[in-house]
Amino acid sequence: MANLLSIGSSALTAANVGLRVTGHNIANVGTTGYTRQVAVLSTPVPQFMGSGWMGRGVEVESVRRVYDGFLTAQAHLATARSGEAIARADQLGLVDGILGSTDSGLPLALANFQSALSAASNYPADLSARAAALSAAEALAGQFNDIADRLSQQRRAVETQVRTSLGTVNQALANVASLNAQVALAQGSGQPPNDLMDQRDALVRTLSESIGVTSVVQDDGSISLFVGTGQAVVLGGTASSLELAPDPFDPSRPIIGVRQGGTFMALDPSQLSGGSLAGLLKFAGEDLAQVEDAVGRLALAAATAYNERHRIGVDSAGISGRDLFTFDAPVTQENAGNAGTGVIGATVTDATALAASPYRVDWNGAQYTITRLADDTQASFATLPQTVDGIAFTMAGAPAAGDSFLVNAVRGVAGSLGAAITRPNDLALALPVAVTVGAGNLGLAKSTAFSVPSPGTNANLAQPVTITFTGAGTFDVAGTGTGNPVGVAYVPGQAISYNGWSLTLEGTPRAGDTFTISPSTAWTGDSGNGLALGALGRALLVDGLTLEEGIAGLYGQVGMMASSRAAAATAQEAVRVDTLGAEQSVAGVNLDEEAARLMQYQQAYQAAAKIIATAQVVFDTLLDLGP
Amino acid sequence: MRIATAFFHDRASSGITARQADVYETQNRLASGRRIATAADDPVGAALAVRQRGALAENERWLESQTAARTSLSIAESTLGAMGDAIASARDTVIAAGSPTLSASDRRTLAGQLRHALEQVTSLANATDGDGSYLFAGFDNRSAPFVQNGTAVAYGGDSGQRWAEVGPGVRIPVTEGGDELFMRIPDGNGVFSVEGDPANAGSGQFTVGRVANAAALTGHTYEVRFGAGGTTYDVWDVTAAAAVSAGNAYTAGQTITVAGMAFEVKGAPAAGDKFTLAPSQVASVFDRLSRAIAALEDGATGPAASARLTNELGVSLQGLDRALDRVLDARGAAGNALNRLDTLTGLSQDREVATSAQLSAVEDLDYAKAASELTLRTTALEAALAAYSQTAKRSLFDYL
Repeated sequence: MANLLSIGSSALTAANVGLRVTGHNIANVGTTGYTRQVAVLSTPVPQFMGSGWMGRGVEVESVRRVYDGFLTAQAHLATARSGEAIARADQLGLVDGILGSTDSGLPLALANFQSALSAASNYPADLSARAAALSAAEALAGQFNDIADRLSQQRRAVETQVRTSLGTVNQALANVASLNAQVALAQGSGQPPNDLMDQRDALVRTLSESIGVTSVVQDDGSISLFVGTGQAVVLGGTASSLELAPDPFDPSRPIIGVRQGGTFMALDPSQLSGGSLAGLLKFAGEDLAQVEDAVGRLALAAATAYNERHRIGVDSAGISGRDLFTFDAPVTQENAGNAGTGVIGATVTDATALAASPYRVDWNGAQYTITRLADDTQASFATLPQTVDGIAFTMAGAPAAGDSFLVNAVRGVAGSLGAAITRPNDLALALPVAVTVGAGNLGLAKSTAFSVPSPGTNANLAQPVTITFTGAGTFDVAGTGTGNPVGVAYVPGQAISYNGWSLTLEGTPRAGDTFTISPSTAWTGDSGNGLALGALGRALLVDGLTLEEGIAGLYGQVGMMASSRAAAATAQEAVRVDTLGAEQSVAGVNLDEEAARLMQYQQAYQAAAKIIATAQVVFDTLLDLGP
Repeated sequence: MRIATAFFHDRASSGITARQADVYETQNRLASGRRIATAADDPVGAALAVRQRGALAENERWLESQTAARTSLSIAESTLGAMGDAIASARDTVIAAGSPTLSASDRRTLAGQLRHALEQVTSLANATDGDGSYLFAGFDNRSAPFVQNGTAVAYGGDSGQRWAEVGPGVRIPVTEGGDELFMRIPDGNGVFSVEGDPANAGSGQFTVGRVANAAALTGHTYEVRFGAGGTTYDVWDVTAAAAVSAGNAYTAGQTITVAGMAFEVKGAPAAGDKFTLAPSQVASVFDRLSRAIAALEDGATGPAASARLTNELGVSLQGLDRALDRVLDARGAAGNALNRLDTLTGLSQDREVATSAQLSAVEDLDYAKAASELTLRTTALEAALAAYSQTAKRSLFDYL
């Protein structure tokens, strides 16, 4: 009898626990990170009573979470991957927006500049046409500046986002550590502290959005978190923190790392398993750098080509052209850990051979290794100076073995590009030398083309040279730098070149006819250099492409990066939803299911109460048997 | 598979938001008319669009250069036309002045007409393009190239020629130096000239001469010197300082051939009269006019003076003929260049149409497709909303 009462009360307790657990589940249907709980019931050891083993009711063994560690870990990872992909895709979308549509921005500015130059060549004496060409040059420089500035601002915004994220991450890590302590303490009671563990898992989930972490459950119930290739950030009750530090090469670019005690261990973004921090850092270090370098290379190639050509010509007063554009020299950086006194120098010698990449120069004591960082191509030399990809590298001072240096010839050009000429008359549209037809020429030979091809730096360019025809098919040449050849065969239509100029004659000359090439004396009617400036529109200036093809390539490159990352983000998000669904299908609360459970436990409670009532009746019956 | 309640609601609202975003995107495209808003929409298409816009811009530059060249060449062509008329009219005056029945004052009147013609030709040679730039000055085109001093006109410009790029790799000259057009005109018949010595006392008149035997030309200067009585003549090679022949018999009107060069002498040369055959040099149109003016204003009379006048007018006429040829050739060349420009403009315009069509195919929105896509996406949104409102209502608690 007493047993029936205890069986009944154990049943009542069990049903009560069941109801409470179900009620807890229903209450937390909307709680993020909540894992549904179930009461685990079992039978206590039965009692031997002669006629058999008699059961002693039910006991609540534990209340535990319906938890699948594997699915949860998968969902953490998928969240990290998705966070990284989305962060990177969003940033690239902004870069895509900076470039703008194809009928504005850089393509339009270049087209306007070329068209203004063409107009000035058609009307070289017209000051307003010249002024328009100069202001179009300024607008082109301004357009490059604008893109560089906005990319720069984006870089700073990313940095700010990284800093803010780090603050949140560090807070979460500290919270995980303190929860670890609480869980370990609570676990000492022998039962799992479900809600504490749920809170901790929710923290890890939000952490994963920012930085991918691997979690390992320890025996005492605490979890250890690792990032990157195995740096611990939470061990038991202690949390390390993540920090930003300046890159030893480029103080303007931060890197993140783990600070444990006194040591700082840098984290390579490519080794993070995910998270928005990984996405932002990869964007800043790879995507944004690539775009900045590509834009810089376009600016450098354009400015160098137009400058070089402009310097060949003379302005409307006969003065040699100055540079049309100014821009910063290559940026060099010594690694903060260098032990020697080496100072690296870099000059651009051939802008058409440039790559859109920074370079690292390493000295190992025996040779210099120059690495093109965009694709890790290397070249080794025993000594400097050497020229690689159009850049001349030099070393002053004495570097120590193990020293390294960074050189970037392109990245700062777009931001620093400026138009240097403001006075319309300073536009060098004329050629420095001109052809004078002999005043007594009777033949029918005429000049059909005269130019000074690039680079126009022949030392004897200004030396007067006279071509004298000795017959209809031969001529003599006289002038410093020509070697004074005689009896040269005349081929109509074939270029005659000396001292850096090129003359094409056609028609039949007579003996005695002369053509003299000498420094020009009148410039307002000459657009020879203007035509050559215009021809730069078709010159292969950027990696075998014209400027405009280079710009088209930039649009294609950025568009491809943005659209492929956006597709990746969509795919990763789909994976995240799937894994989340799998996790929730085990751990999530389903209200209909809980409602059914309520019914179940309610009936169980009623039945249990009936047992007690029956035990009561049995006891009363026994009592009634006495006197 | 179990569906957790919170997950179910979360997914449903995500789905609705995604469908709304789709509708928004299609709406935007329809409003802008562009298929490609940013490069990410179609990277290959965006790069193609940039290149096509570049091609359109280059085409536009050629069209503008063609217009500028056309303006320059048209003004030059019409100026050369007026110049041709002026030279032709001067030529008529010179022919009229050769009439033997004119009096001295008649000749002075004609000289006055020729002075007027000289001024007109000089002024046309100094024509500007309406922008203040002189047409026929070479590169030195901010000041008048032809400077008149009495009846002498000198050229102060240079040989510079400006070119314009009017098509892919196509450059045409849009100016011509005044030296080529008006100054460097060969005298005589283009190979050699015949001149009479101003001191000739006889009445010998010479013709302009022609090449009888090109193989025999030596390029030397020769003198035909008449002997006593004007019945014989010697030929002296001035360049080689040697005699060529002596004692040749002379009859009026006969052809005298020296080293492949042939000319006739009429009238009665006196003893000691000399006629010089020299390889052609350059003479300007102005020079030929001023020689005619000087000859007409010379009031001397007599058979020798009359012969000199005839000879001078002959030389001048020949020079004006050559000058007129030069001007008409140049005008023709300008006309040809204008025709060529018209063809190039036609090609450029065709290219513009073709490239614009290509650009539109890449960049512009297919409205029919986009409109049906909008309908589809709106339907999807409505379906998502309807589905959610149906399923979210059901719960076991309704039945308890």
